[in-house]
Amino acid sequence: MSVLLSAEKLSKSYGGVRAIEDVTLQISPGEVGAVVGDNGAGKSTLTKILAGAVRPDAGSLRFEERTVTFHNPKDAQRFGIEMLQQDLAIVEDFNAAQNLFFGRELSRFGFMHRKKMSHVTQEVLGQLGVMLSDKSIPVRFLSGGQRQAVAIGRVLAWGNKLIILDEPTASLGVQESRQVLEMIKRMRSDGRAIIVVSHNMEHVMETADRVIVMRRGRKVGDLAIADLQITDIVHLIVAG
Amino acid sequence: MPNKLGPSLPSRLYASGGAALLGVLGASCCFWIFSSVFLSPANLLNLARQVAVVALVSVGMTFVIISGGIDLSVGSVVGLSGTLAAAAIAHTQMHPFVGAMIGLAVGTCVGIINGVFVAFLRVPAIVTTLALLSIARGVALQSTNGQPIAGLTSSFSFLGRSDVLGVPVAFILTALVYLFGILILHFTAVGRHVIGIGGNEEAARLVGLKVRIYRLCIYGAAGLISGFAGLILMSRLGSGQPTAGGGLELSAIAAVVLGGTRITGGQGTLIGTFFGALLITILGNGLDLLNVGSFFQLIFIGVVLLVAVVISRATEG
Repeated sequence: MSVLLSAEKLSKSYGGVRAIEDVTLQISPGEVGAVVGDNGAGKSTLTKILAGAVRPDAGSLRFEERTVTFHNPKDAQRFGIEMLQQDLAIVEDFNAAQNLFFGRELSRFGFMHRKKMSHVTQEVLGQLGVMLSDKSIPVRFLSGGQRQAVAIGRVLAWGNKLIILDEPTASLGVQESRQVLEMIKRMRSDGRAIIVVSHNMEHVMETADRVIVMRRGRKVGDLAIADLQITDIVHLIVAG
Repeated sequence: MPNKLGPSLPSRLYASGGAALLGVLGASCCFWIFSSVFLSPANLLNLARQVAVVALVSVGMTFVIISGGIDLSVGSVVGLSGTLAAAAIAHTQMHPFVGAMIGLAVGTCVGIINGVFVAFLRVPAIVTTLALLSIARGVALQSTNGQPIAGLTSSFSFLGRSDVLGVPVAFILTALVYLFGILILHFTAVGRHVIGIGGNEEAARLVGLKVRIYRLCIYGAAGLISGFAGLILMSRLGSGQPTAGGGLELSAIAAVVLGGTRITGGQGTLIGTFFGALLITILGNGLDLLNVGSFFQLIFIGVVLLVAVVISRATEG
C-alpha cells in the first residue's frame, strides 16, 4: 500500500508547554488509523496540524510523495483533506443540503443551484446509509445520529483523500454510534484514508486497522489492531 | 403529532411572514370597520407613500438582524443623510442628483463606521450603533443649528411626492429594493452566508467565510439603504429636517421581528419584513384616522415590539 500522507517529526508548543514533540506517522488510502491517548496527550494538536488548522513549529508533511505546507484549512482542503471538528460545526437552522454546501454553494448564473445541491446531498447521505424523510427540515429537528451524518457527509463530500474525525461518537447513543461506525467502514471501502480520534476503545478495536497511541505529546505506540487486545492499548495510554 | 418532525405550524407561519400578513389583513379589517376613509383611494395612496421609509430601513435591518447583529442608528442616519443632502442642494446650488449622492455616501459612511467597530474592534453592536445614533443625530442638529433646511429645488420632490401611473415613486423604488434584496438574501450564496453567520458564526468561520468582511458590508449596506430612505423622507417633507427619522429604529426592529426574523439571527425572510413594515404603517395610519394621539402611538409601538418578540421566542424550536 502506498503512503498517502506522512508526517515527519512534528513538534508544536503553546507558550512554554509542549503539545506534541517529534511525532512521525503515516496513513495510507483505505486505512483507518485511530489516534488514542489521555486528555492532553496531544491528539487534537496532531490532527489539527494534519488538517491545516494548526501550523507546527517543526517537522514536515508529505502528501502523495510531495512536501506540502498547510497555512490554513483551505490549503489542506485543496488536497482533499477534510476534518470533522469535535463540536459539530453545523448550522442548526439550515437543512441538510444547506449545511453540506455551507460556504461552498453551487451557483448557476449567480444564483444558487438548489436542485443540484439537494441531489448531491441525498447521494452523499445515501452513501452513509442515511435517508431523511423530509430533506427540507432544519437539522435541529434531526436525531443525533442523523445530525452527525450531516456533519460527516460534509467531510465525506469534500474530503476525497483523507478524512479526519475528532471524537465522532462522543455525544451519541449506542444506536447512533453504531451508525457512525458503519459510515466509517463505508468511507474506508471507498479507498479514503481515515484518521479517527477516539476515547472509546471498543470503537477503535472495531473500526481501526492501526492504532497510534499518544502520551504527553509523544507517540508511544503505532501498532496493527489485529495483534492487540484492549488492555494492551490502555496499558500504552497510561504507562507508555 | 409524535411522528411529524420539524417546526410546528405556528412556528412555520410566523417564520415565513404569514403571521405578519394575517396581522395586516386583520388590522385592515378593523380600521375598515371603524373608519370610512381607511380604504379610500386617497388613503391607500397615502399608505403606499408612508410605508416606503420604514420598509426601506427594515431591509437593511433584516440583513443586520439575520446575521446576528442589531442597528440602532438607522433613524439618525435617515435624519443625517436627508439633512446633509438638503443642505448641499439648498445652500450650494448643487445639482439634486449630486446632493442625493452625498446623502447616500453619508449613510454608507455611518454604516461602515458601525461595521468597523462591530466587526474589527469587537465593540458589541448594541453599544456601537447606540453611540452612532447619538453621534449622527448630533451632527445633523449641530450642522443645521437645529433648524430645518428649506429652499429645495422642486426637482427633488420626485422621490417622495410624485406618482407613476398612479403609484407613488417612493413605493415603486421600495418594491425594487425589496426585489433586489430578496434575490440576494434568498437566492445567492452570499445571502446564504449572511443567514449562516447569524445561525452559527463559528461554523461560518470554520468553512472559511470572511465573517468580519461580511459584517462590515452588511452594516455598510444598512447605512446605504437608510441614507436612501433619508432622501425619500426629505423629499416627502419638502425640506431637510434634522430631527427626521427619530424613533425609526424601533419601528424597523418591530417590522423585522413581526415579519418572522428571529431577533438573535439565523432565520428570517425579507417578504415577511415587508408585511411587518406594512403592519406597522397601517397601525400608525389607522390610529391617526381614529384620532389616537401620537403619544399613545409611542406606547402602542413599544407594546407591539414586545409582543412580537414574545411571539418570536414562543415559536422557536
